[in-house]
Amino acid sequence: MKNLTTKPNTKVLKEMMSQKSEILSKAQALSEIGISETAESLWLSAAYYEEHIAPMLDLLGRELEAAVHRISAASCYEKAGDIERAVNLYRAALSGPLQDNTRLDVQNMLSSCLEALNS
Amino acid sequence: MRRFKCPIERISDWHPRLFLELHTVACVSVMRSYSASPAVFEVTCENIVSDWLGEETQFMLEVSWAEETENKAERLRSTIQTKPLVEMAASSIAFILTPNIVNLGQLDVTNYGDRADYRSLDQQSVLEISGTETASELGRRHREKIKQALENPFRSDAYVIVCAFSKFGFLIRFSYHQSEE
Repeated sequence: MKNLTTKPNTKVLKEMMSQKSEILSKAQALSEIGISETAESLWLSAAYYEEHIAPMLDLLGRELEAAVHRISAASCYEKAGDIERAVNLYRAALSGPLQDNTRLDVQNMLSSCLEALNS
Repeated sequence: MRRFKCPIERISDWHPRLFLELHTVACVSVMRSYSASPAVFEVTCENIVSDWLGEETQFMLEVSWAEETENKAERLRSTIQTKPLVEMAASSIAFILTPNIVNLGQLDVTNYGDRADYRSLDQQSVLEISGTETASELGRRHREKIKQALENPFRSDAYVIVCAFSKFGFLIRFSYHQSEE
């Protein structure tokens, strides 16, 4: 198995990811059963965590992972209805290193948000 | 053939930092449609390195559930569509296989469009999970998920778990794939 990291995750970062996963998994589950009002605040909270996790990964030289967490933050803001912040974060993710297929996905996610903003 | 037995409610103990209460209930909701407790799954493994499994490539997974969970399951079926219900059920089964058959350590969840992605922070690998209620679809779905998993944005290796719940039985494909990059 390859080790793609330049520096390992710090304890603080792993704890932040752990807290975020708890919140995000709850948001996803509650959304599935249609409890959208409670889920909305959870999406926002998860987005906030993701937004802060990304630059911590940048600092560790893990730009690819950081970009994925920006995509996750954007997706969470989009779910919470904060489309403008989602747009900013999708754009930020696109400015970083991404695989070709991921870049295409993000461009489509961004287009959907821009359409929603213009409608 | 080796047999691993557990109550589905244990997944919350094994993954204390994930919210899995609804996944547990969803799993019982699907399993009880085809079987009384315990449900027995035939698990076929590919490239799985596991101390518990040893040289074996197949084993039986026996999943039981409590009456209280069954009562909740009855209510959940009417509030959630079938597709997400089956996907959540498959996730529950995956959360038995890891950590018990392969321990992936801490799992990180990210949101990617409309889907949840799981990644091991300790093993640099992603975990791709899917479920179906059509047994004949298992092979095709497994191939699709391998392809999707290997296109993961982290360029990491991938574990793929696909579960089929049907009147013909419960089947699982559990495999590991190295990233080409």
